[in-house]
Order: sequence, then structure tokens, then C-alpha cells
Amino acid sequence: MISLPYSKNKRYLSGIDWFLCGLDHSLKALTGSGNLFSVALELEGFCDAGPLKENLEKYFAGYPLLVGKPSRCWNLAPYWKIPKNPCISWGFKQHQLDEGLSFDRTLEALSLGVNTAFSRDDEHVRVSLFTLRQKSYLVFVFDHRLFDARGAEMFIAGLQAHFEGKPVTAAQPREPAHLDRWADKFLAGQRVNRFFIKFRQKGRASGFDLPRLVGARRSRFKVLSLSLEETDRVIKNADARAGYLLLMPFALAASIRSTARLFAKQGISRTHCLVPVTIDTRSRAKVGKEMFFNHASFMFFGFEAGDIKDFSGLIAKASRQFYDMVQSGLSRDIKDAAMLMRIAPLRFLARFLKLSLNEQTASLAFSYNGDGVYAEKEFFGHKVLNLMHLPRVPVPPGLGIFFTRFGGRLNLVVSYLDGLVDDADVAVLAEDIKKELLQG
Amino acid sequence: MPKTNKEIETVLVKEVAVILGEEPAAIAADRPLAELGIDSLSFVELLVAIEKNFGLKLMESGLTKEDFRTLRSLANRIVAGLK
Repeated sequence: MISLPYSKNKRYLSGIDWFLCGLDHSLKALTGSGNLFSVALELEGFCDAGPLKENLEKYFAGYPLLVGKPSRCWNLAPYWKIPKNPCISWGFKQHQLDEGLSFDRTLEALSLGVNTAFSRDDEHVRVSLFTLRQKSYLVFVFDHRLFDARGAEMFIAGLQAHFEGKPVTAAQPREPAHLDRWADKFLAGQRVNRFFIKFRQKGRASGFDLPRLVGARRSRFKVLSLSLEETDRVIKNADARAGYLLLMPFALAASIRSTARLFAKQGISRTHCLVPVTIDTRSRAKVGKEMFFNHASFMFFGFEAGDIKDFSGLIAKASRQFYDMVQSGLSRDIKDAAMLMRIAPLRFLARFLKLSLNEQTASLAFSYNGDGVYAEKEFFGHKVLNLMHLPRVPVPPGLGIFFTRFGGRLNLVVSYLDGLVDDADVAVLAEDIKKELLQG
Repeated sequence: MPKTNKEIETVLVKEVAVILGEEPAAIAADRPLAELGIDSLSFVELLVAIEKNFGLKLMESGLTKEDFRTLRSLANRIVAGLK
């Protein structure tokens, strides 16, 4: 391995990090704001902003990475550049919610932050507090270039530890420049390309036609939080239908079936679906040690229109593909192959992604996060009722279905680009997925 | 190839330790897999490791909760499958 002198003001970006930077560039160009996601804590009781803001300020000051931005090194490897004298700036806003607001309306308010671009290229976190008399929502907006879903939860868990005066491990591992093992990277690229050729031969996948994108386009969300009893039922159904612990392919099959029904209702009659699924590649032991940047990779599932009729067959197909992709090491190959894309300037990378995605539109984005890193029962003296992830979805496909768990309960989140599909249809889609999961 | 329950259990503990990024000593063979922190992805990684080590495709032969409750019960399932 080529070892370069380590600078505390520099953190090399992986291929997946650079890919996420490309998506950010593309989303900014198409929708006005970048590749952002929110994590919302639902808290019991009225939360006082004063002490919270004070503690946030102290906590944020410990992380100079929060004011970095992508740059390129003399060796052409992209890196995260941290200023020599970092001055951490971050946004904080407080909002009073109207009492008696429906959950969907509340959600619309909570998603304001994730739909607003950061004001500067070196701003990557924003916090908003929404209060009611008996309930508060603390919403963190994260820049996906710097955090992935688990990293964001870890950041919030660290904040809590900081509040409680516990030691916080500032997880900022040294990342090498990855300028070695080129033959391995090219071979991985060859395997990934061969994998995609199979999909390309089938032509364009089912998916919504994108509306004409002019200026800012926000993401909208539908969230269904299942009760503990409902979640237990879903797990039992997954055990029985897909196999022990195979909740992910079960949830994917239910999501595909319901989305295919929605496509059929909208008159989208293409014959197959392509679903990129985000997979966290960290081992459990590593999750607690890597807070910043992206440690995910992808898997790609393909389904034919005929698969939808037989739910058992659909589940078996999802499980089979899952097994085959793990066995072939596809996620690892994608991570390695992505290193080759780091040479591309962001503008070019965004254009390349747009061209390749337009040719081969994914039907929807999907992820199942399972139990998160944040598992605290109280935050700042308030009982934590729920934790929701609200991610913006890359365009195309502009539609995503995400599952997370908090406190044993399953959250189903549908994220969609405004104007892509009616709110009523999304509500039906979410209920339909829930029904599939509960009925098994 | 390991053949006794104990030998198979040792191989499974080592594989799970690699998958979870833990030391083998931290993996108890009598703890439920879900409690060890195994999720859908790590479970499939374990199935792939079983195929590699023992030539058994458990994904295709049915995955009952009882067989997979702990690494010990899984070792018993593998012994039965190898006979």
C-alpha cells in the first residue's frame, strides 16, 4: 500500500463517498437542494431550546470535519478538506407547531429542513426543534456526503453522551488514499459491469416518468409506525415465509408487490422492476467506530411483472438474489469499482450518473436498516417516543421505500419527489405494504 | 472437513466472529442469533460461509427458526445434513 503523510486537515474519500458527492451535485442541479436526509426524534413533553442549543454548540465544536468540503489532492485522490482554523457554524431554528395538527401535516413541517439547501458548501448539519405543549420533535438534517444513516444515529447518540457528561469517542479513523491494488479494482469493475449487462439487456425498468424539473422540487414523505404487536407479527410472517431473520427480502418483496400494483394503476406497463438496495457493509463492531462518511454499498434486485402474482415466489426470488449477491461479493466489488470513478470531476460524474440512470431507470430505491445505533430511551430528560429517517431520494427514480426500527417497532417511510405521484396514491401504497407485511 | 458437533460449532463461532468483527471469545454458541447481533445480511453471510465450509445449501432446504436459534442448534442441523 502506498502510504502518504497523514494530515489532520485531510480525510481521503472512498469511491462510495465520491459517488454520494456526485448524487449531491446531481440533486442540487435537478431539485435545488442536495443529497440530504433528516433524522427526527419524537420526544415526550415540551423541550426547552436554550440549554439544548448551548450543548449542541459545545458538542459540534469537537468535530472540525463539520466545516470541511470536498477537494482534490496533488495525487488526484479526492479528499475532505478541513480548514486549519475551523469555525463551526450550523443552523438552529425553533418552530411552534399548531396543536391538533394531523401527523401528515406535522411531517410536512418536519421535512422543511431536508428540503432546504445548506447555505454554504461547508455547512453539513442543521438542527430544528418543533414544539407542541405535550410533545417535541428534534430534527437533524445531515449532508449525505458526510454522514450515512448509521453514522447520523451515532452522531446523535454521541450528542446524548456529551449531554450526560460521558466520554464521547470522536470517531474519525484515518482513511488511506486507496491508490494501490489497481488490478483488483479493475477486475471488480469488470464483474460489476457484467452484472449490469444482464439488466441492460432487459431495457428500461418500470418507474414513474419524471415531471419536468424546474427549480426547487421538494421531497415528500409518508411514515407508518407499526406498533410492537404489529412488528412482532411482521417478524413472525417473515420467519415463516422467507426464513429465520430474513426480514429484509420479505419487506422488499412486499414493497415490490405493492409498488407494482401502483405502477399498473398508473398505466406503467414496462415488464420488469429494478431496485437498488443500500446495504451497510460495516460489521457490528465497526459501526460504533466510524461516525463520518459513507460505509454503505449497493445490491440490485430485478423482478419480472409475472413474479408479482405469486407472493411466495416473489419472496423466494428476493431471497435467492440476496444470497447470490452476498456469495458473489457484489457489494464489495461495487465499493472497489467505485474507487475508479474518483478521477471524474463532480460535474462529469453527475452527468454520467444522469445518462446511465436515464437509460436504465431504477423503479424505486429501497433500504432496510434494522435496529439502529441509537437506542436511548431518554434524550435530554425527555422520553424518546420514536426515531424516524426522512431521506431525499435520488432522481431518478424519485421514489424510495425505507424500513428502520426503533424501540423494537418498525417504521415504514415512503419518500417521493413532489409531483411524481399523488399523496393519496402514496398513502394507499404505504397501507398496502403494511397489509402485505401483516397478512404474510 | 470438521464432522463432530463440537468441531462444527467451533467453525461457526469463528465465521460469526469474522462477520460481526468480534473476537471468537465474544461469541456464545448457546445465545440466540438475533441477540448476537445477526441481521438479514449477516445471516445470509453465515449461510454462504456454511456452504463454503460444509457444502450445504441451507437456503434451499428450508430455514426454520428452531434450526437457527443458536449456533449450537445450527451445528446439530449441519451434522444432520452431512449424514
